[in-house]
Amino acid sequence: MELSKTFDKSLWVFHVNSGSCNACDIEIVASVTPRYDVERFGIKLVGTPRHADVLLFTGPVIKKTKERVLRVYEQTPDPKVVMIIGNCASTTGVYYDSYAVEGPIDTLLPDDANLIYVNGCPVRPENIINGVKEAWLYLEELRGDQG
Amino acid sequence: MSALAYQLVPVSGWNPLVLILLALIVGVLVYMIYRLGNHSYKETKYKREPFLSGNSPADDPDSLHIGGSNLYWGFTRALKRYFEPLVRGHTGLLNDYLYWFVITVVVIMVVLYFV
Repeated sequence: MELSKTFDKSLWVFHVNSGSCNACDIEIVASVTPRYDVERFGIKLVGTPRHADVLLFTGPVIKKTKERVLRVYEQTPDPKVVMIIGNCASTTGVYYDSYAVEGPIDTLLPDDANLIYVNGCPVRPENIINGVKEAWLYLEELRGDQG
Repeated sequence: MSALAYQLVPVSGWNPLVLILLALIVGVLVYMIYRLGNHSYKETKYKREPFLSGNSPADDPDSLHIGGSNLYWGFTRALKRYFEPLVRGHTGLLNDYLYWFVITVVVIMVVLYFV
């Protein structure tokens, strides 16, 4: 995945709910509201993964959404970053023992996916903004590795 | 080409050597443009499928159908003032369509008579 410095500017985000209880989803929307306002960084929610730079996954992957999650991931053009929002998405959280749960998101995605974990139940909007900052630092590191 | 022109330009465009040389030059230019492209693109199973909220197109083939009205909506929107009276004229009654046909044929015959 070739990265340029311009990739950090105004990251457009597509949110995928892969089986969440909606708490993290509401916190994502709250981070876009004037109180926390990620839009001041040029970050906005888009309606199609074709326009997205960042994929936000919430909730554990359940059996019905497994194929859909993979499909959306592949339909997002490179370069892309995946932000795994919430305890359920990173470790299945409170649903660890459920018959319907396939597993955490990172077990489904390819090994070369760029993953940023933002934990919480639900995630605080400040933590989401911190996750975006971590994503920028991670991308800077990746660009350094690419020379 | 005339004999004089051939003397001035001994090589004509139909010379196969010239054509081969041109093809090579164009090929090099094409390759240089190709090299400027993105080589990190990887083809995967779902990458080229249309985005249908994560659903498979095979589940709903009708969702992939693009009707003609999707393509020419720009024209109908721009020409709405002229299009709407025509739509109103389509009453669905065969008699009305036949009246229009007869009137049109009469007008054409009158015009042709005087031309």
